[in-house]
Amino acid sequence: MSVQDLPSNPETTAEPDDVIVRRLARSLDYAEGFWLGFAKSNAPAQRHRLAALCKDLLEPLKVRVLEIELTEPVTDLLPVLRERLAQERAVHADDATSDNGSATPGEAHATASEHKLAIFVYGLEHSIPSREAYPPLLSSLNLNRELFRRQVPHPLLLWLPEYALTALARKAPDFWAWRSGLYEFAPEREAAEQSLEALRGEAQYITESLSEQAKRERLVMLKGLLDDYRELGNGTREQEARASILNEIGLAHDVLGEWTEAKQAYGEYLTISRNLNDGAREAIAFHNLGGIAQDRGEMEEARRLYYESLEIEKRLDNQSGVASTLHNLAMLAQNQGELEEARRLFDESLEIEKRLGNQNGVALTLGQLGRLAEDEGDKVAAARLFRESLSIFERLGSPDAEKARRSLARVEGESS
Amino acid sequence: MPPAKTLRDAYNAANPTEPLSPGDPRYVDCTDVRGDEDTVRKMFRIISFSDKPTHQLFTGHRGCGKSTELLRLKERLEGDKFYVVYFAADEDLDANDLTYTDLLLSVARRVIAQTSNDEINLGDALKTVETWFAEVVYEQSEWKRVEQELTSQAEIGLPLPKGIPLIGRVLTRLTEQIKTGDEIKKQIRQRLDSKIPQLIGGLNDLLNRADVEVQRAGKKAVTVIVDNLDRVTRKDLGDGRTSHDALFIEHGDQLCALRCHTIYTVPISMMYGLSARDLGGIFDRAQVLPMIKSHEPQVSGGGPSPAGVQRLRDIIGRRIDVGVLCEPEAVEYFCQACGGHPRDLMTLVRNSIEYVEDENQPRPITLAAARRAEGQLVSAFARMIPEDYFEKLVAVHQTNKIKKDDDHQKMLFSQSVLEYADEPDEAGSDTEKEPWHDVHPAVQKLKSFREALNERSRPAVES
Repeated sequence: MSVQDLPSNPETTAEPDDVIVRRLARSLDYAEGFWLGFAKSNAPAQRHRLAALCKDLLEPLKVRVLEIELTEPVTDLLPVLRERLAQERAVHADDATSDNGSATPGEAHATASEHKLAIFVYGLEHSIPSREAYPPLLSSLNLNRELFRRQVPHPLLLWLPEYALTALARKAPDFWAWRSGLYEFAPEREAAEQSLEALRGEAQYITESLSEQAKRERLVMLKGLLDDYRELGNGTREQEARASILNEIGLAHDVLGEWTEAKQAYGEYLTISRNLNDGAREAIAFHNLGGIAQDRGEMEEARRLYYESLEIEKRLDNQSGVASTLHNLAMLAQNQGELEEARRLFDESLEIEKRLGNQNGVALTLGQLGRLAEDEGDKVAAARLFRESLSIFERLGSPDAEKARRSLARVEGESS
Repeated sequence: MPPAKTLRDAYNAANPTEPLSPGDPRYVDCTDVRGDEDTVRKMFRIISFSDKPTHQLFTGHRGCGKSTELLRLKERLEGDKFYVVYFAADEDLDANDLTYTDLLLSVARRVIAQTSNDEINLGDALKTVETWFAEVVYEQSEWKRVEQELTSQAEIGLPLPKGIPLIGRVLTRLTEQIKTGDEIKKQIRQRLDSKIPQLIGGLNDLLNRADVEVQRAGKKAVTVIVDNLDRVTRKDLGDGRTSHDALFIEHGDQLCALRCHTIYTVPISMMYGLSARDLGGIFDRAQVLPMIKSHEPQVSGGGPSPAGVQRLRDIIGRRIDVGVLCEPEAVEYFCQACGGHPRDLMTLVRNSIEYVEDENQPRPITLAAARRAEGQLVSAFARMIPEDYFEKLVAVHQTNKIKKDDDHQKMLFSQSVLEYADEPDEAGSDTEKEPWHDVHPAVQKLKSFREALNERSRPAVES
């Protein structure tokens, strides 16, 4: 039997989750000393459900699991593990002494020490951002693997989403080579669809109003979900899902000021939209790419992209898209001092928004018209427009109300 | 440790993370199936036949048994009364950012620490180096402070054992500062960089003195073995240079200027860089530890290689009782699927135990379990290989040759391509055969590889 003659391996046959978990439990039960394994799961909810299942299987085998959830980036895992292990030992030493009253000291001690300790780590993906060529965490894992063996004499299972695990395999090859087990859980369609539904129901300002850390967390979640849909297939449904997620990823990078990554995400979004022959999405892609160009100060490029978008929206008779692109074109003109052109475009946009009854759009455009009046020195008109805009934002409970209020205070302060 | 008879023991006997110590009964001599070059014997001979210091490179794939072989070499040299200083570079140094000056300091540190531990007095040579450091690396006032600090630390017995000379402690402190601190690292390197000839001169005074002293104690020359240097992070420094080139080629002459025998480990990809020829001009010899030859090259017809497969079987057999635990077909399957890579063999055996369906049946490690374990290895490789590599991988598989370029270096580095060596034509012949290369069998199972294989027509073969 030569290598070439070996029948092809069923590498792609998916194992059911519970079979994988049983495999994992057996290894954790058998392993002595340091042991390294990787579990792939893209969704945090799935991770926790599977971990709980595994813990149930381990309990009768006298294996206790120490769970470490990292919510912030770390540059080195080893100190984190050492600290948590020390805490753990302290807690169990306390247990042993405090139980002295009720049980015999021997018994109390036995329960803690009889159990083997395994460690599960979640959240390392926060430390593996895809934009970094050499994430410090991966270097330190790769270089310190000997220290893990000596200082962490326990089974260690790292839970990671697809993209972060791949980065680890490529950028920490020595650490990766030491794995004893690889547990790849298939995505759960239902859970992925629920997450996507929730995502589609959100208003855009959700992302903009998040804190920096929350934006990063959102990115991690989105990339996990994108991985899920990559694995779930390549049908229209999955491609549409991936498009929606990519647009959100682009937006999150955009508001973090990471334009290269944002541009890449919107670019992929554009490719999928074209594949699907989905003009509405294609227009959105051009619109958002135009926004990036505008943010980077590439005004001519921005204008070109907005007009691409506008053309498609008009062809598809997507009125709300037309209104929003006109609004952006107007802002572009305003920034370049073409005030007449800006007013014409804002008015056009406003008329459509009113006809559609899009209150948020109306308020935004009124606000911009207020700015325009302010630029022209007409404080009375500016105040009137800001007031109008503010009252709509207040009615909607929009976070933009605050900005409108400040603008109003500014022009009223100056005019009095 | 007798071969394991239970699944639990077998699981722990097949540990992919543990190198064997010399004299371990589980060690299997694979010389004849690694091109019949006993690497240990060759490296030993070069050292023992030369009356001048020699400088050798040693390389091989990660997990192919390098550390095990180096520990054997150490034992053999010590048996022949050489004074061996062995250390793993990554224990002292930051492998993510390692320069040749760091390495030289680390060698000095280890030599001083070990000689003082063995009560070999290097006398005034220590004082000379000490004075030099006081002038070059530190300014006078700083030196006083460092001296005081280290002396008082030594008095209370922290953090180093007493008896290590001051300069030894200075070097320990320096290397630790280089390992951990960014600012101080730059400063130290800057001060040293312009004074490298003097640094090497000082180190050589020390080494000469050490040579004299160890010989007085009835030993032969000082030999320094630096393991794990192959783990230095490969970084692109621009202009087609990598961090590996900077260390071993641009500063290879300095590494070879030390007046003692040295063996440095290097990444296997270095042997196939554009600069491999330069490397040969700098060092006395570069020794590669190939994979165990599990199969014949495609160009001579392919098929399993009986001797190599037998050694792989032995490696399993020394650790687990295959008669009790394995179906014979499973053992054969492991030997082919690992591609002659000892660590992958261990990983496969270990993983197969996870897939055992009935723990109580005789010979529970079945062919089915072995195949599923292979699936896990295949899946692990799927993550490591960029899609655009497959066409090149197919070419390597069909020609058994690699090109000297960046992509092929990366394939060696990621172990998707493995190096093998044939046995010499006749016994005792000294003409060396070229090593050959093949794609890891697990990579050959990937869908992308099979697709690329079908797309590529077979190259014409000259008769």
